Amino acid sequence: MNFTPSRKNVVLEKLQKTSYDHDLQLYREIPDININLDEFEEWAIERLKVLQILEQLSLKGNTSNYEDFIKSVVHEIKKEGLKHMHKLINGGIYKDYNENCDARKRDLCSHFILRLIYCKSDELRKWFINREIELFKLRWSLLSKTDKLKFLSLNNTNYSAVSEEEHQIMADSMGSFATAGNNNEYFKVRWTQVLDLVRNRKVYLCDGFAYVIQTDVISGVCQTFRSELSQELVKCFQKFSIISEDERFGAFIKYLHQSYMGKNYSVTENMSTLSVNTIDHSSKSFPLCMKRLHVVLRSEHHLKHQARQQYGLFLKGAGLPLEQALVLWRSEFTKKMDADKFDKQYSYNIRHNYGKEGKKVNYTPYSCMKIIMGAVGLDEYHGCPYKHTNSQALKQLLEASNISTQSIQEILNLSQNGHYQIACTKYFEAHNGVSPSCTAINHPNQFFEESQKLKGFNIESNINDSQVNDSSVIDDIENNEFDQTMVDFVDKMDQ
Amino acid sequence: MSDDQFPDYLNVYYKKLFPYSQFHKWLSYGNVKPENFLNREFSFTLHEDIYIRYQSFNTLQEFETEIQNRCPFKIDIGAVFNMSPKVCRNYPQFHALEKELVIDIDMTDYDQIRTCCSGADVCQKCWRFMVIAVKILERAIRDDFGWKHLLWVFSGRRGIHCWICDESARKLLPSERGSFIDYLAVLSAGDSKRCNVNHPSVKRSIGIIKEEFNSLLAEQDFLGTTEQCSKVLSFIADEKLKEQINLQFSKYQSSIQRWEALTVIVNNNHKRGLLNFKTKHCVEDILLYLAYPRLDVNVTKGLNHLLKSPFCVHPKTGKICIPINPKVIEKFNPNTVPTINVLIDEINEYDKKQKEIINDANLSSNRLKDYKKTSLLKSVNIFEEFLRSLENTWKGSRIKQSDIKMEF
Ligand code: SF4
Ligand SMILES: [Zn+2]
Repeated sequence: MNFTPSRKNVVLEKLQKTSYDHDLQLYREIPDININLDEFEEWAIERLKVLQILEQLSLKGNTSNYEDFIKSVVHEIKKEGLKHMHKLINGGIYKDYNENCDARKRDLCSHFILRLIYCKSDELRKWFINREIELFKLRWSLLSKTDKLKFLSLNNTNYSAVSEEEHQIMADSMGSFATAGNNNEYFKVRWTQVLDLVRNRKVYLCDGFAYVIQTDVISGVCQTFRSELSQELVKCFQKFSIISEDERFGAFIKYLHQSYMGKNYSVTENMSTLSVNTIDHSSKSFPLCMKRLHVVLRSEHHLKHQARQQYGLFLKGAGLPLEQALVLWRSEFTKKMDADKFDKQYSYNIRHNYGKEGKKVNYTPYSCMKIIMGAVGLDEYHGCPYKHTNSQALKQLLEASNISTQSIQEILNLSQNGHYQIACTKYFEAHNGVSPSCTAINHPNQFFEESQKLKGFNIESNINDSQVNDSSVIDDIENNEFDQTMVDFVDKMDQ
Repeated sequence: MSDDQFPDYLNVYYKKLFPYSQFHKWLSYGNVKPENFLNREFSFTLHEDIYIRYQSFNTLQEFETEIQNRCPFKIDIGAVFNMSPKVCRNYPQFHALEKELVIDIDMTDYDQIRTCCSGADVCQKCWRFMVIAVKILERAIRDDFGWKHLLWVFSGRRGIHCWICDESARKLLPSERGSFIDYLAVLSAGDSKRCNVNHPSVKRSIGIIKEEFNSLLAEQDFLGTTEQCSKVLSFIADEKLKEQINLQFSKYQSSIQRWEALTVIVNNNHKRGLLNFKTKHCVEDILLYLAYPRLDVNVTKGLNHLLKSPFCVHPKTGKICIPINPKVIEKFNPNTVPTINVLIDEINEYDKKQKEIINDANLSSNRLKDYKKTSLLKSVNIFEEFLRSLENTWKGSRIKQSDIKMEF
């Protein structure tokens, strides 16, 4: 795959027949195509969206009924306007070869582009491999039988037909193990290609070959795909430094995995509900990562740079106007330093985040993925608590949040198994009594917005002051209790 | 032999008896790839349990001298690494590449079911478990996986090792080793987990067990006590059926009679279609539980797992870890395995006799290799036979290699 630096549409391509002759791929050959930077980015983002849809829906745990799962994935892909992937998945519904070919080309290239991005750490590689396998399985299951057979022969998957003679021998020794069927329902492959079937004694072995029934073939193909992909990613990583030095797309490759494809919350929509006066109350509807930062800010009167970024941008996205933000940070920080120093050192940065200084970029609040992928030092409080705190500390944080012990245990288990965002979704459910309308939490601002909706805050209209005042007495008491436990906890962590 | 004599005996053994050249031939695998021997890890357990890992040798000569100097109580064989273990073991890139696929069966894993001995002891009676194990594994490894070069070795006390030396077996990844042994370890997930007795491999194993089962039953007296009976009956999920059998059990005393009663009842019920899917195969379940090989799966799974070398001397029993011919495994008696002191006596006796016979002839008896004067000869022959068939494979790959060279 060659890369044309020009942003003009110079697509020189040498169609290599072999790379495009099937809707489904094992991605064994890097395509010999020139693509421009726009395509490079666009295709990568498209595929990433597909993979994220898969993750979201499988996180939701609806995989027990695979048919339904497929339907919801296909539906979501269509809804998101990912028409090329939608075409490939639905296989063969369009007649125009060029259209078909275009979709296949995008599929092929975008896979290789994402390899560049997801080869950099064990964690990223694992994520990518799992998603690609999910996608592969799903696409396989939607192929027609002829297409499946064609795929197997095209890809040299080492499956071969079972001869008449072999079939007879096999039938004799299989006896009641075999399900009734005829010759062409079995394929023969080296036993090392179907380890799971061998391990569970689900397959007949003879002379080092496994005789695999058609429906089990996919498990072997996936195993091949998985091991090839994981080897390729490691190789890719070894070459990575060379590619990423190319400035033209270095940054894109470096940061795409942290980006998040949903709503970006950079502009607050309809929600100027947050003010210095209401923030303590509202912080109860914050996700744990932000709740903790709020408490630390209130008790320590300081936050380190990373934490200020994470929390500050979140507040912006949650509807805290710039003037209010300045009031909040100044009122806390000046408890420990004089106003002059604050104005010099910190207010610039806050204004900067709101796009009022420097390049005047309106900065985007961090998504969960970015927060989760970030690095967190020992006495720092930013990051995602489900990932970046040990289970003991996380437990205490959760206990301070007034949710049932059973939920706490579930959340702890989820986060221990690396399902940080599902843990967060569980927390949302435990906290609000209902699931979020989205499949899983993937943005702290989404968490907050949805909680607010549930609390009956009408996003369209501003809440009038009297309403807030009415409940503020009770809030104050609750807040005090709540804050006290959190402060105690934070103190303990400091020791 | 007393404990403090052992080091002296061992000294003689390593000087006169250990089959170095055959051993070197084995692990060089035709020298198609010299690294096979050069980068092979050996580890030694020396006197007083000093354990040294990552030994490796450049030549047969070096190997021989080092062993004779160190006189290890135990030699373990490890993996072939990507570089020399002795020199490079601390390099970050240092890692294991390949190793024989090994299986370890130890009699202590049978303590739950064997009644004749326990712990370290082993007798002709419980050796039958090993006979069954070898027969079952031989078939499975050869027929199902297609490997041909199997070296079976007595572990020196109460077990057997199997070294599968085919090239494709040596190159297996840990995950593949794992699947292989899980496939064979029918009993691994606790005693009560039932496996699919219709799988061709399991079915064949049950057939092998049946051939030996009557003798085993008589020797082990599996149904001798009420306790044993109830353990066996726990494999029958149907309460009514269990009662019927129990009634019969009270009428008979011997295990043989009781077992016959059990099978008759189950068969009758089966014929009349009274058994559900859970109880249908209860006889097979019991047979597997009582006689299927009990494998130490972890030994097989690790690419880097060390295993005691053939021709070691067991420090407690003095027995040699000799190769076994699986075809006549039932003739093997663990209690008549040559011990180190017997072997050394045999050499001395032979030499004495020779001296008497050819007293003043010029021919020296020392022309004859020492092991040929002893009962170790038989074991070395088995080893050599194994090597001969292995040799054919590397002749093949040498030809292949020279073909490739010619082509380019
Ligand atoms: S999952 Fe996202 S919202 Fe939830 S705590 Fe972690 S970073 Fe915050
Ligand atoms: Zn015994």
